[in-house]
Amino acid sequence: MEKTKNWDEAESLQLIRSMIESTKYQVYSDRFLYFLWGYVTLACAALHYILAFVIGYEHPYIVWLIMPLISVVHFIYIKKKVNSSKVATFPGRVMQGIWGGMFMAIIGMVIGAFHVGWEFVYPVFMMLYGVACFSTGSALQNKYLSWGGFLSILMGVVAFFLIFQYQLLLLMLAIIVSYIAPAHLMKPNK
Amino acid sequence: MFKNLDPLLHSQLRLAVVSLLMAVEEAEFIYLKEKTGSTSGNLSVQISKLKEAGYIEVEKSFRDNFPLTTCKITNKGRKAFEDYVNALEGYIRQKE
Repeated sequence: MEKTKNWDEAESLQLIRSMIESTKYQVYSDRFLYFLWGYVTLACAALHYILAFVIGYEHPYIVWLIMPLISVVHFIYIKKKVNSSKVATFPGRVMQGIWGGMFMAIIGMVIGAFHVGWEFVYPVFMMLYGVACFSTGSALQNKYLSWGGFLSILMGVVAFFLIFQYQLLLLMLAIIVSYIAPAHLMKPNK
Repeated sequence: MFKNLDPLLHSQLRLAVVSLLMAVEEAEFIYLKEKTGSTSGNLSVQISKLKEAGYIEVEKSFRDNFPLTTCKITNKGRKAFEDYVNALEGYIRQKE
């Protein structure tokens, strides 16, 4: 990129456009995180369902104990990515706030669940997943995440009216539409 | 043609740097080098020119014992970029 003369308006605008376009990568459009949380949550929900309603195991919820470990993997991955990103962006900060807020709200709901009961918190989980995906989809102009987030919120509302067994099934569906499907439709990480 | 365009921005590398900095809050030297595909020497020279004109701020620090140069656009640089884009649009409208 050494040329300084003999270039026209179109080339100037094209250069500006391509430079701005090249800054669009965000860790929040990184498929790995959606695959990580999506497939782990789907597997846990499916196992929980099988243990509780097929096998009849007394403590099926133990499958969720893997989640703190997944959080550690998540934070290590994010830290590594942020350290190597070499750039700070406004959308990046906004996304950090949204996902950080969702994480804190989920921890709060887990604590509250011991008081109000798990059948009240699963619908809220779905709505929180939905809010984070919908916000990210809107900020990154990713229609799959936006639609997935919207559907997850909708499923969360429906789940309030269902018994726990069906809430688990709906949770699996919500995770597929809000995390797994959009992640498969995203461009592979560079 | 281009008589009214800011000569400081009417250079591919400087325009590329300012365009990148318009889209982010701040960027490291290595990031600008990767995105523009320029050499370190040329990029340093162009960054110095932008800094002298007050279009960007350059902060030098250390991270993990390695020197770290971070660039950020100033209000003056933002205004110059907007004027440059407006002028470009003017030329395009004139052509049409």
